[in-house]
Amino acid sequence: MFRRVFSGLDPVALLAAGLGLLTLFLPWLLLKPTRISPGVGYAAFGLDPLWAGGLLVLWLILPWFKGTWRGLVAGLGVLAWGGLISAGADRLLGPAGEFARVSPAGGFWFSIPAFYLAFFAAYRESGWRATWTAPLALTALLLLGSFDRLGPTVELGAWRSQFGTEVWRHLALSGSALLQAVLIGVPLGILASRGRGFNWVVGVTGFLQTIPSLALFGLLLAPLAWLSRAMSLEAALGILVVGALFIRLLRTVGTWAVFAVALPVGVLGLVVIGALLFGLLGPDPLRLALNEPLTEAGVRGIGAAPAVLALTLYALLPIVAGTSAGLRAVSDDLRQAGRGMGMSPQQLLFRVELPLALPLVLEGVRGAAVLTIGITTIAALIGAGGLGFFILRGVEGGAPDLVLLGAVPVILLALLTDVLLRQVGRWLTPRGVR
Amino acid sequence: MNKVFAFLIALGMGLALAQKGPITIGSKIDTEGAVLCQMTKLVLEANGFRVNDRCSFGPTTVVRKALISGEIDLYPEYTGTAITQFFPGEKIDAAVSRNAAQAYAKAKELDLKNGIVWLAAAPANNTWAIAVPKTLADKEGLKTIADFAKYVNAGKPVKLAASQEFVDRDDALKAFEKVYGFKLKPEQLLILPGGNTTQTEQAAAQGTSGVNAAMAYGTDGGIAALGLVALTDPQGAVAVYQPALTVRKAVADKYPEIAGLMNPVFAGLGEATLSSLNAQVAVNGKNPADVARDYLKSKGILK
Repeated sequence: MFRRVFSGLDPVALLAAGLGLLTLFLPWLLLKPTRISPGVGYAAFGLDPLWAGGLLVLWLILPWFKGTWRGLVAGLGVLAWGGLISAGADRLLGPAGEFARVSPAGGFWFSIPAFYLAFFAAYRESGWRATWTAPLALTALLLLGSFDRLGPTVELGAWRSQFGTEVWRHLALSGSALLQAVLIGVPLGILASRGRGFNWVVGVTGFLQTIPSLALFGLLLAPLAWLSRAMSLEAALGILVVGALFIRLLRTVGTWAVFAVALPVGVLGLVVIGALLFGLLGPDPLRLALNEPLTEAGVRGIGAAPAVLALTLYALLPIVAGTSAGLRAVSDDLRQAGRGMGMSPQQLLFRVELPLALPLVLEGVRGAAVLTIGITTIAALIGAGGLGFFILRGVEGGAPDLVLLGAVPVILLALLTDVLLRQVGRWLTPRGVR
Repeated sequence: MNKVFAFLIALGMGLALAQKGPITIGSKIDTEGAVLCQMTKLVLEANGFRVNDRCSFGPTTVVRKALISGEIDLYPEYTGTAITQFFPGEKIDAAVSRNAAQAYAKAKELDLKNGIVWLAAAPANNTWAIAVPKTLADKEGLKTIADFAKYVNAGKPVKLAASQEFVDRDDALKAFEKVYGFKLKPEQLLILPGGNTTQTEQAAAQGTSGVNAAMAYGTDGGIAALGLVALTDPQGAVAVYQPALTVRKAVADKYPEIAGLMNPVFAGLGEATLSSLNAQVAVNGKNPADVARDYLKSKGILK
């Protein structure tokens, strides 16, 4: 009997429906007298029997619909989900005091993977056209203001003027660090793949990741502060250019001589270029005055300069490891073939090895990007702002809603970056390697 | 180097003609720091200063280092923190740290050697305290830590939520135990690693793992909102923590009017006032800048 009822139904849709039904028994909203007080949980039917009943019916019938119809049912489910949370918040806040807050709880959150599974099941049968109801329903909920009375939205109200700037700062910090990490990481990865002698390169980038950020900020503060006042922008740029030329000359002397010069010049470059990149991308106006001290260009012991430097160092490992693994995976036969065609080492690198290694290099970059978006939250520790500001203030103040105001956008940004870079990766990968 | 100085002088002169400053102000990443920082910013801006806002940017060590190295020009610091942390070479009598006037005078005197000037302190003591649920306090008649000691010594159930620092430091829990004659056993403590007072107070309010007492600060905004009361310290067992602006000497000398502007503002910040301002941020979730502006307007300091 049991078997007959469920036979022929899509297991993913069944899983979605099961999870969805389970959420109806969990608390959906927590009512708290103030934003820092402990909350009391309310389950779906206690909040609004009508919306909860609608949701129950939709979850029950979901497995028996197919393709675009399933997408439609799931879309209606999203509407009911928003309707329930909105009606519930109104009901709880009505008689409560002025400073009472409602925060979304387990039932609300676990509905998200349930809907994801439901749309995925629809997508498997009918492709993207079965999932258009998802953005439509979400847009409708946002326009109707269904989430307006939830705790994190109320926190947003208090920080509205600052929120957009912090998101921008967050992206600018992550973007500057990632750009720098790619510029150094790929060459370092190429170096690391050249024989056993360079194995330490991956080791060093791994070691960099183990340095605690707060310790790094503490160590950088005084030297950066001194540097920013003692050196002008033109002097710094001059040192970088001369240093780069000098390194080319030293190549004949030996590797260690190169590194002795490259290390300090490289760190200076990371600091100056990182600060300039952030000035270019970020919300704070960039002042470029060549003969003024570096501090005018945004290089300081606190703020973006140490943050971008630290984030760059942390982002190196996935890029270096990806590049070096990709190059090592290139089969020797293909190298031989290239050499046989009379390619120089440089031609071999750019026309054979790197194109073949590209999928793994891009994987490394994608990993680094997602990682960086997440750990840019530490930038708030050194006064560089970003979404970590809200997380830190929320943790310090014991206000979970404020933590969410910082954390949810970070998660969304990381997911979005992941999707975008996957797509970019697909475009960039040569057809023959795919 | 000369060129740099020449530039700085030229820059200073150029800006002096237009506007005063810029003054870079910072604060620690806590509620009271944010409120005091915004207050300072608003008052200075209203009086013709250009202000770089670095409010709420890091823990004590980073903010203090930033001040010493000139990355910021001023930030609010506590007398108790200075006495216990900033002068490791000095032998300071513990009695000094427990007397408000002496602690302030000592911190001011010693910090001048580091090129830091202390402006007037607010008459509020944001020191270590022990908070208990109001129901327990009413039932057992707990008002002071002496009452709490009697309660503990009578063998009644107690579990105190605290940070590791509160338990380890000589001038926190150990000082209370010594002065009031009680001793908490390890199983009577719940250590929240890296815990701050909001977390310990929440634990006591919720009774998490049987917690019925919490480490707290005197001017915490959340104590009343969470249904707790702070027990008083009539014998002055722990150091006094009065907030005051610490300013780089170069800046204080260049703009002596800063002291004239800020000292009256801080003089008005008593314990009750500061607690209620903190509560508006911590409990009601208002933006510190709005809270600071409303307060200054209500006092007629801002128009």
